[in-house]
Amino acid sequence: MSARFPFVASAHSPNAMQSIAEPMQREAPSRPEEATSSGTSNRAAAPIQFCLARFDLPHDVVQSNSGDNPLFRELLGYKSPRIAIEVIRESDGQMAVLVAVFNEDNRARLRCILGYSNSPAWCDQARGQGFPMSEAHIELSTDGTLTLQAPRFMQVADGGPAVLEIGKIFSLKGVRLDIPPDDHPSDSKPPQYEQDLLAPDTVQPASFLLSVPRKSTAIRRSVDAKASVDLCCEAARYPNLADVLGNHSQSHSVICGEFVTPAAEPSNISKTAGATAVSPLPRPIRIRRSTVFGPPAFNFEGVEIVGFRLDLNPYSKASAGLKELISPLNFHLKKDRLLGCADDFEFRTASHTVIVELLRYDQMRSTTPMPPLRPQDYMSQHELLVRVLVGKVDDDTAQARDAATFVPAIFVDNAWSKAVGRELQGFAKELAWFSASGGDKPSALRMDGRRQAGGDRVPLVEVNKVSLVRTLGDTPERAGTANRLLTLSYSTAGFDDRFERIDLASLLGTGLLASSPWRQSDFDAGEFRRSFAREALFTGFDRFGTVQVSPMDTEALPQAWITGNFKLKNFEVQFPVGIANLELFHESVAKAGDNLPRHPWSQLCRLLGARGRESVKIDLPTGSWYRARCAMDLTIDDGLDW
Amino acid sequence: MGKRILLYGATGFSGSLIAAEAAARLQGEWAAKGIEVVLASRDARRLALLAARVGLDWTAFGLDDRTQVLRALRGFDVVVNAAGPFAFTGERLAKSCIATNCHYVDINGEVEVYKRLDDLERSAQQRGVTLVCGAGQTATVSDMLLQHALEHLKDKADHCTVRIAVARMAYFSRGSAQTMMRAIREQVLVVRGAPDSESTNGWRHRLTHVPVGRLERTFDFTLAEDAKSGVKDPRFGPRIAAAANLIDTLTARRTAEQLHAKLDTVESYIEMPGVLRLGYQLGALSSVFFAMPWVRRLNRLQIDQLPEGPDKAERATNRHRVLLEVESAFREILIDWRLETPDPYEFTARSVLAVAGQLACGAFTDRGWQTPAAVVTRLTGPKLAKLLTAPPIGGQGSRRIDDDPFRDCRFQPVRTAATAARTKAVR
Repeated sequence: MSARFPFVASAHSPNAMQSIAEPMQREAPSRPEEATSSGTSNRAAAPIQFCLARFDLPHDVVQSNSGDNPLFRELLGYKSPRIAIEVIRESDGQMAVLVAVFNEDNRARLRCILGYSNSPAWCDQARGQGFPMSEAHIELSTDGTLTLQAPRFMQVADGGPAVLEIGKIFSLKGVRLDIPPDDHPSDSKPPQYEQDLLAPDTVQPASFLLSVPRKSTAIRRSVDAKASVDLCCEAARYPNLADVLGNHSQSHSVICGEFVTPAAEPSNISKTAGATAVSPLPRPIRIRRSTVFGPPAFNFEGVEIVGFRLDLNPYSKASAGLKELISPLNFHLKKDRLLGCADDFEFRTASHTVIVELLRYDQMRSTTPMPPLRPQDYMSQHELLVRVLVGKVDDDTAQARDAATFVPAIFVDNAWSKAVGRELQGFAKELAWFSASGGDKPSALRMDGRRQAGGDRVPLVEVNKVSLVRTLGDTPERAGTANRLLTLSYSTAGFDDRFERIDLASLLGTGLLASSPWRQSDFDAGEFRRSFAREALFTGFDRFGTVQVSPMDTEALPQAWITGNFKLKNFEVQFPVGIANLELFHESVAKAGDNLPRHPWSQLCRLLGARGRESVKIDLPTGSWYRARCAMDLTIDDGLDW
Repeated sequence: MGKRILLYGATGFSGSLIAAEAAARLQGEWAAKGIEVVLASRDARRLALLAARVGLDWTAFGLDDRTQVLRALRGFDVVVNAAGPFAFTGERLAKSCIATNCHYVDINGEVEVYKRLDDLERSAQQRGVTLVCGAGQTATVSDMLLQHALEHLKDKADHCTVRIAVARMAYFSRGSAQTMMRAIREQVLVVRGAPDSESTNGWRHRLTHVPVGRLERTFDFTLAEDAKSGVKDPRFGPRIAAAANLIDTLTARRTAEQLHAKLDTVESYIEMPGVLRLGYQLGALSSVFFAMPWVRRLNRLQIDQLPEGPDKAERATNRHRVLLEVESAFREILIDWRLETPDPYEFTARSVLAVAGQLACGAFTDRGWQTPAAVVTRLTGPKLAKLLTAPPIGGQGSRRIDDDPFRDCRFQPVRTAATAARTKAVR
């Protein structure tokens, strides 16, 4: 079994809702692992090695700290800032590279400002501890040269858009992970990370963030490597480490070693005279979102969709299965909730028809990005998602409201999008490869739908396989069949580009409900039919609501509903003649253990009749699948906005 | 600095009555408490005239621009919302109140708005704000009666059926008429209790719906004094009432949960003569039609032709009655209380200001979603509870209440013997 990310948080609240409200009593967890953060159990892990190099900042960089590089902002507040780069490797090949800032007079207190890992699982665990970590290709050669390739916006000529592409961020020469550690630590104070864990505010998620401090307590055995590491940074628009450290830099000290099994997290729960008492917990601080991120408004151009309507009515336990699928939305109904309020409604599925969609976004932009990004800069992405239409129902009333789509499972090939989506928008994104057959050419497509830079874009209907990424740097072929999520084929005479333009503004046009993959007949419950119609009559068909839950990688901050609106533009649809053949696999996401919640993709497969870890095949006739093209705007609601 | 209350919607019919009541309170009990009231509305001209008449400060702003609203609310401790239809104002003002950390009180009577606003409970609690919705006449009275009844019955209230019945309004303001038109639905909201292992006390009061017209009952709205005084009001007596979408059902449910009562049923009724009941059922059948924007506009044009509301003379003579019935699982009537209030609009002005005053003074410190009765009973204290639950003297007499906001109200703990025999269910 692979080891977990080594930095385990110290004192924190098991559920931060408590610390937002007044401190209150809480029953002791029934299972020991519940007392730890984010499910981070303290089981024995494979040895994890590290190499930590410290660098001085170029003198003129400190003086001219006025650029729009967000990395500079991280240096504010440090009297004499220095940079540390730590490489971490686990025996199974999982690696992480952490770029951190520290004060010269306190070398043990690090703050990670940029992190990369080749393991999506480590990324999720690290983000749950407050590390700004995203996926990257990390190669470490036998001579100690580490090359890190990750998505970044390249510098472009004036005025032109910068595009997010995978490229070299930096390389390190002289990385030593094989030096046996000394029994006596070289530092009297071993370096530890102090991070701020961020999550959207529960009241105004679009305007504020909640922040709690997290301090790692990992125990290291280290030795002075008595060597140096050479850093070679590539210039980019963002992230631009070269701006801070210069193109070439040499470390002034290097320590190597390994992590000892992480220490048990100090429990803040103590039993006194039969009662379970909780000591006061750190209260989350509310900070303005605009100081960290831009406003949560995004624009999507050139969106292509291939959608599949899966009618679950013929399957037994469809209602119960769908209830389980949307259970994250009903977090407020959990029995152990600490604020007994807002429980007079629940989210319910409005229809037994579930939509599986394959999407490609040609250009995704933040409408008002934080510098150095500009409104014209964009990124591309493929997406595989499951969409369920839900509504708020006040207990058993017959009047549902706030119809919105909930995405319980979503797979993307863009690491940035994954990080932002998980953290701020509540989309439980996971990294995946999107492959198309093509002889001896690489099967996994780039984010922009091309096989290689400068090549032709492969049509979305030629994407025939989606696989889960376990380690970056691998390929779908090398990863084997166990990582498959979906295979696709179409029994059709061919695809053409005859799309029907839908006038979404016209209520009485032929496009009634066409903007939605659902049909009026899908709403088998009367209350949803009425309320959906009532809502649609007022709001129009050119927009649909979305509701997600955030955060998902930590329990240290309270969960909140993240609601938003997709506004559709230039909507065109086509119902191809032919049969779509889908095979859904869930072996890669199926979890061992009866007590663990099933992955939503696995839940869907089981709903569709998959037994054990078997796959399930579905053939969809004409009319049950569609192609669409459109542009979209996504805005996240403020919570107190109207 | 004094405690500042902002009254929004002051130029409306109910708003102007609240403004007059506030001005009267500022001359009396509120003067010593340092309370200050500022009138607000979107109509600056009418607002200036009203403010000059009652002698209060004013500020004009609409609810279209959020930034402007937030700026206007800054510095206030409590906002009283009297601007209907509340579907357009309630959510906006309540959210703005949470954003500016001031308490919110309204006189909303729309069920849909109530359900939407109570979703803000979590946000209000986290920001330390109190939201009180429906602090108008019927919900305050019925909820106050229910709270005392449940506290009086204690465990005996378990598995009981609660019925709230209100006499129909003798006069309508334009705002009330609009609210009624907006509230037309094909179904009626009721509460049904059921065991629930997830709930803290093992019981859950679920909201559910029954078709309009299914629930009709006879209630006795008679007070003992009616015969003596020769009152011949057609609304008061044993009358048929039809279940209706009143927020009283929702506030009763909330009160039952706060008191950990395990009720079987909560229903709210409005007394209606036959013609009205027929119109009510026809209206329910056409509810989707009435919800269409252009039909609503047409209705609004018609409603705008009505007088703004009852005049002073009509209000002075008008009385209103609210009835609470608690029936045990064995069909034994445990509580059969009725309370007569002055004119509902006059009473609304008193009740909403009583709530606002409590919040402004800091006398009520519970945060999050609160029922009007929770605030008001803190004000009336045990004296009113004693008056309500004391055994009837001589069997049938009614009692006068002098506590704010129930002054000049009459309470009768049991139905009259003459009409008890005639009261029956007409399912």
